[in-house]
Amino acid sequence: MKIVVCMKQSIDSEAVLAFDDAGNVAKEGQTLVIDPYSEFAVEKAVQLKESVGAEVVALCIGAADAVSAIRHALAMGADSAVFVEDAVLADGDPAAKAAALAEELRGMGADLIMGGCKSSDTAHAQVMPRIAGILGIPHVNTVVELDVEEGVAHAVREVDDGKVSIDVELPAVICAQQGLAEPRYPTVRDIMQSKRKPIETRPAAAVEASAAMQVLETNPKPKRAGGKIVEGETVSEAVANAVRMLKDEAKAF
Amino acid sequence: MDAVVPTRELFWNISGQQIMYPMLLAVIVFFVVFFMRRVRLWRIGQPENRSGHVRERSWGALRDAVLQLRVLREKKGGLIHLAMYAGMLVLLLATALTAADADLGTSFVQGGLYLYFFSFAVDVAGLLFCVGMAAALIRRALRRNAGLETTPADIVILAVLLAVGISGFCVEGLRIVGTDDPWRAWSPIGNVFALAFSGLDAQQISLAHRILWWGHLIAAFVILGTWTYTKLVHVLLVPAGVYFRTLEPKASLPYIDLEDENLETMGVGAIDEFTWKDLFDTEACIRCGRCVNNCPANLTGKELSPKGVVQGLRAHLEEHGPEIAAYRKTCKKAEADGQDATASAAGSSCSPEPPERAALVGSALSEAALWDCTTCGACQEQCPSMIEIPSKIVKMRTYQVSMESAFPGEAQQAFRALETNGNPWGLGWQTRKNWTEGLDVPTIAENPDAEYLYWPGCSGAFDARNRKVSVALVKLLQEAGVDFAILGNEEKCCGDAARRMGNEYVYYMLASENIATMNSYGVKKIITQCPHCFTSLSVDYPQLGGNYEVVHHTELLKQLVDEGRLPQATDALSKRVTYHDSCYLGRYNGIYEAPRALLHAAGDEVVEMQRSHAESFCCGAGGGRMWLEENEGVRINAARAEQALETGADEVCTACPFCLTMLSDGIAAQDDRVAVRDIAEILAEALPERERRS
Amino acid sequence: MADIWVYAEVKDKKLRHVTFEMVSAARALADAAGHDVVAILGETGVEDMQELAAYGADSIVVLADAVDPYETQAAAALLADLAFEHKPAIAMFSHSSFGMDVAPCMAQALGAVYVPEVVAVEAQRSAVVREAYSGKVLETVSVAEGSAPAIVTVRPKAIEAVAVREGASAPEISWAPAGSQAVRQIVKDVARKVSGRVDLTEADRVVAGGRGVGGAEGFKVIEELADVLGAAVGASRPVVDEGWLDIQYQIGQTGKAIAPELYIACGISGSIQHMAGAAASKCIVAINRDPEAEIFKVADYGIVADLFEAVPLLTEELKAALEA
Repeated sequence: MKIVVCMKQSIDSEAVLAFDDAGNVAKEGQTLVIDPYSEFAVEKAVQLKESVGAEVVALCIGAADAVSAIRHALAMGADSAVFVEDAVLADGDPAAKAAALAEELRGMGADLIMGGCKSSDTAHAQVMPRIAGILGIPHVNTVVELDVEEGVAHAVREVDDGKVSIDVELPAVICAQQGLAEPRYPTVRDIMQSKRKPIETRPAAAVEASAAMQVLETNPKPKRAGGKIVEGETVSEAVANAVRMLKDEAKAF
Repeated sequence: MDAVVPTRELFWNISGQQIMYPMLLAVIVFFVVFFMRRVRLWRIGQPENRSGHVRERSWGALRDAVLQLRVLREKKGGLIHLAMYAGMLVLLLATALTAADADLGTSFVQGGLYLYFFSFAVDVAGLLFCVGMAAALIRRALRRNAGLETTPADIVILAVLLAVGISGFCVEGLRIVGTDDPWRAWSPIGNVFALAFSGLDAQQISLAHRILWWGHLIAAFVILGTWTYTKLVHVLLVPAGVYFRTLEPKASLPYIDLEDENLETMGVGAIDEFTWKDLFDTEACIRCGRCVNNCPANLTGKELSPKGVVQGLRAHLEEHGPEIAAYRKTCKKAEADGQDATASAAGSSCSPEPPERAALVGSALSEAALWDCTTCGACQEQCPSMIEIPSKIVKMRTYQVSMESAFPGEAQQAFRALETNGNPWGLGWQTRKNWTEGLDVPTIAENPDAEYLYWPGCSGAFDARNRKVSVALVKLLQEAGVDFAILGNEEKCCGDAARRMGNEYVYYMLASENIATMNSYGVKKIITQCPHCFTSLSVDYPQLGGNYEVVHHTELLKQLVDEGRLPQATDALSKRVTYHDSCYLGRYNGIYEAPRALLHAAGDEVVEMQRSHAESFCCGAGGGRMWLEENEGVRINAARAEQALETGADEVCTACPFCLTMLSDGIAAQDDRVAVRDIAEILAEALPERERRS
Repeated sequence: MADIWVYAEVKDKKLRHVTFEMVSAARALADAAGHDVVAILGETGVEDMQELAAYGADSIVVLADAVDPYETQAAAALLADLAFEHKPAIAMFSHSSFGMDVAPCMAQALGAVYVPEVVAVEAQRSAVVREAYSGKVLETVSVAEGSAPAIVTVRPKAIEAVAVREGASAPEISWAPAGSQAVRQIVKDVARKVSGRVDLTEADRVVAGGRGVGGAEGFKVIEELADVLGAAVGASRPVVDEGWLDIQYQIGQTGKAIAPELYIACGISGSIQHMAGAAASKCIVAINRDPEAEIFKVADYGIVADLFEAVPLLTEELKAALEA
C-alpha cells in the first residue's frame, strides 16, 4: 500500500503576526511549524505503515523553507517526500493548491491520500475534499479513527452529534481531525536518518484551477477588552458580586 | 636490679601459629581474584579520564575517606562508624607490628611503646571497636533509619566482628592471668577480663586461652577471607571512589558532539555505555542509605531510591557484565589473530554474536524512578563514596529521550514548545521582551557596549509572577548604576530543562543559538536570576564554545551592597525570614551566604529550616520536573512548604524562579499569610525607605 | 438577478437558529445585489419553515427527504447538480459537520470558491468576512456574482438573526431531484450522542471546564452549573486530549467556535487556541486559581478561586437569581 500524505507548513499559532506592505500576513521571520493537522495525518500514516505495512510519501507544496517541515515528517517515519517548491502556490488560493496537488498525485499511484481537514493558520478547510473531487475518488472528512484492510478504509468521522462510521474503497482521501493519532516525538536517530531520506523537488505543474477566492482585505482582529477581576473578601462574596454584576451591568439574564 | 623492659611473650601458650601464613596467602589470593574480576567488569565501561591531579585527588581521599569527614556529616551513624573504624585501624597497626617482631626481628612490643601503645591504646581501641559494633547492631535492630536496610549478612558481619573483639579481650585476660603479667595495669580492659578469669586454675586457663586464641584467629581470617565478598570491601573502594571523584563542576554532564556524523547513540541505554567510573560506583555503594534519607522524591513517597538505582545497576552489571566482558575478550583476540593472518582483511567484525543488549530502564530501575529524579544532587552530596548519581540518571534519560522517544507525555509539550518558541510554555517568542514595557531596559542591540548582559530567563520573561522579580532586579541594577542590556526577543531558553530531561538535541539547538547570538554581540559578563540558567551558561555552555563570566543576581547584589552602591538597612530586624537554598545555586554552585547576607542587608532576621545549605530539600522543579506532572505520593513542594512553615518565619525567601513558583503554590495551599518572595524583591522593596532615611 | 441559497439546518424537524442567522445574512447580501433569498430544506415536515419568510426568505424549496445529513457525499453531489441547473449566486450552509463537508465538495464540483466559517457579511461590497490565523486575522472575501456560485459556510451565532418581514409568508416549492452519481461513501453506522442539553454552537449559555477540572468526574460541578443555566457544556483541548470528554465538546481552534451570550470558563487558562473559538462570546466569566491566567485578560468578569469552591457557590447564587 502506498500512502501519500499532503502536508503543509504553517505559522505557529502563538506567533505575533505582522503584515506586509500589501496588507497580507507576512511569513518572514515567523516561526514555521509542520501544520498540526498534517502532523495527525503523518502520524496515522506511519502507524498504518507499522501495523499493516505501507510506503509513506510526504507531499508538500511550499516555499523553500518548508523543507524543515518535510524533514519533520520524514523523521516521524515517512519514507520519502515530494516537494513542490512554489511560494506563491503555497500561500495562495486553496482551489489552485488542490489542483496542483491533485496533478502531482495522479502520477504517484497512492492507495490512500491523507491530509489535514484544515490548517491551523489559513484554515481554508477545503484542499483535501477538493483533491478527492478532482481525482474522482471518495473521501471522508474530519476523521478521528481509521483502519485499512483489503482495499477498504474504515473511517470514523466526527460529526456534531456523535460519530459516523464510513467505509470507502481505496484509493480514497482521508482528512485528519485532532484525535486521529497522537503525533510521536522523533528520536535523534530518526532525525539523523531523516536527513538521508530522499526529497524529490519539483516545480509545480501548470494546471488550471477553478475560480479563485478574491480576498478584498486582511485586517488584524481587534483584541477583546476584558480583565476585570471581581473582588471579595471570601470566594462566596466574590461569587455573589459577580452574579450581581452579571445581572445589573451585563444584563446576562 | 636491672631495669626490666616492659614487654610480653609473643604467642604465649600457642604453637602452630605458622598456619597463619598460608592462610594470609589465601586471603591475598582472594583479594587479587576479586579485583581482577571486578576490573574486568569495570573495563566494559567507556573510557573516562579520572587520572592526574594526584595531589588534589589524594587530599580529597585523605580528608573525606581516611579522616572520615564525609562520613561524620551524619552524626549518629558517623560516630558509630568512627569508633569501629578507628578501633580497627589501631588494632590493624598493632597486629602488623607484632607480626614484624615475630618474623622480622624488630622489637616494637617493648618498653614505653609496649605500655602506651600495645597495652593501653590497643585496649582502648579494642573497646571502641566493640562498642562501635554493638552500637551498630543496636542501631540496625531498632530500624529507626528508613534509608538503612538490614540484610542478614549485615548482622552476621557485625556479630562476627564483635566476637573477634570480645574474644581478643578474653585472650588478653587469660594471658594476663596465665602469665601473671606485671604490666597488667596498662591494659585496663584486658585486666577486667583477667579478673573474671582469676578463679580458674592454670590448666583451665591454658585450655581456655588456646581455644579462644584459635577461635579469635579463625574468626578474624573468616572476616579477611570473605572481605571482598562482603560490604567490608568498602574499606578499599570508598577511598578509591573519593580519589577518582569528578573534579569537574558538580553540574557538568558529558559533552556529546551532535555535529559528529558518526554519532550512533546518545546517553546510556545499556550497561556498557556507562563509563568505567559509573560501573565502579555501583560497587562502591555501601548501602548506607544516606542518599535515600535525603532524596526529596523518595521522602515524598515516590518510587525513586538513589541507592536502589545504584544497587539495581550493580545487579545488572553482575548479570550482564561477564557476558559482555567475555565477548569483548573474544573479539580482541580474534582481531589480534586476524591481523596476524590477513592483515588487510576488511573490518574488525567478530565472529560470535554480540550478547543481546539488555535495556537498563525496566531492569535496573523503573521508568517511573528514572523520571522521579529532580537532579537536586542531595544524594551525591551525602554519599560517602561520592557516587555520581544524578549524572547517571540524566545519561539514562538522554538515551530514553533521544533514542527511544520514551518519556512522560507532558514532556513532549515542553520539548515542542522549546523547539518552536524557545521557551517551555510555547508562548510566542516575539513576546519575550514584553515584560520590559514601561521600564528603561535597553537591548544589547541598542546598548552594545553594556558591561553586563542581563539574562532574565524564560521564567523572568514570561511567567507573570517571576516577571515581578525581573522588574525588581532591574530597579536594583538601575539604582546601583549597573550598565546592562538584555538580548530581548533574541534570547532563548538556556536549555537546562531540556538537557536534564535528556533532550540533548533540543538543548544543543537552544544553546548553540544563544552562544552564536551572544558571541556576535561580544558578550563577556552575564547576570542571571535563575540558578538553572546560571548553571547552564557557566557549566554547560563552555562545552559548546560559550565562555562567559556568569554571575548570579544574589552574588552581584551582595557585591553592590558591599561596595555601598546599594544601601544597607540600619534599623532593627524587621522580619523573620527563612531562606530556601535552591539546589542549583547551593549544592551545585556553592552559593549559600550571599542571599543570606542580602537578607541581613535588607534588615531581616534569617531563620533556618532544618534542612538547609548543602542539606537543603528540593522544591520539586529541578531536572525538568517543573514541566512534568507529579501524581505519586506527597507533592515535593508541599513537603518543602511545610518545612518552611515549621520555622514560624513571616516570609520565605528564594533566589530561583522555579523555587518561587513551587513554594508559592505549596505555601498558598497551607498558610496564605506567609509570603514567598525572591531576594531581589525583598531588597528592592526596602529601597525607597532607605533612600529617605539616608 | 440570481438567487442566494440558504441550506436550512434542521434538528428534530425544527429549524436551528443558525438558519435564521443565515437568512438574515443572505437577505442583506440579496438586498444590496438585487438577488432573491431561497431557503432550501433537505427534508419534509419541518414545522416552523414558514418562519423563514419573516427573516427574509423569498421562497422555500423542499427537497422531498432527499438528503440524509450523514450522507454528505451524496448530498454534495445532489446539491451541486441542483446548483448547476439553477445557478444561484451564493449557496450558504451552516459551518456544521454537514456544511463543512458538503460545501467544499460542492464548490469543487461547480468550480466555485468556498469561503469557510463566515462571521459577518459586508453587503455593500458583496463580501463576507472570515477569521484566520487562530482568530487573529479577519479576511474579507468577495462573493460577488461570477461564473460559478460562491459557496460559504456561516459560523453559528456570529451573525444576528433579524426578522425583517414580520408576519410574511413565502411560497413553498417542491423539488424532486434524482439521486445522481454512484454513492462511494458507505455509511455503516451513526453513533449519535443524545444529550438533553442544547448544542454547543447554538447555545446562549455555555459552561466549560479545562485542565483545572482535573478529571472526568470533576465535570459534575460544571454540569450542575450548566443545568441551572440551561447551558451547553464545553471543554478546552487538554480535557479532550486527556480523554475526559469527547472532541464534540471541544471549544477552540480545533474544536467548535462558540458565541453565546454568556460563557463561563472554569479552570481554563485561556490559550490563543482556546480563545480562537471562544472570543466571540458576548460576556465571559472566568474562574481560575491562578490570578495570572491569560483568561483574565479577556474575561469580562474574573473570579480568582478554586473552581471546586467557586462553581458550586455560583450554581447556588445563579439558581437564586434566576428564580427571583
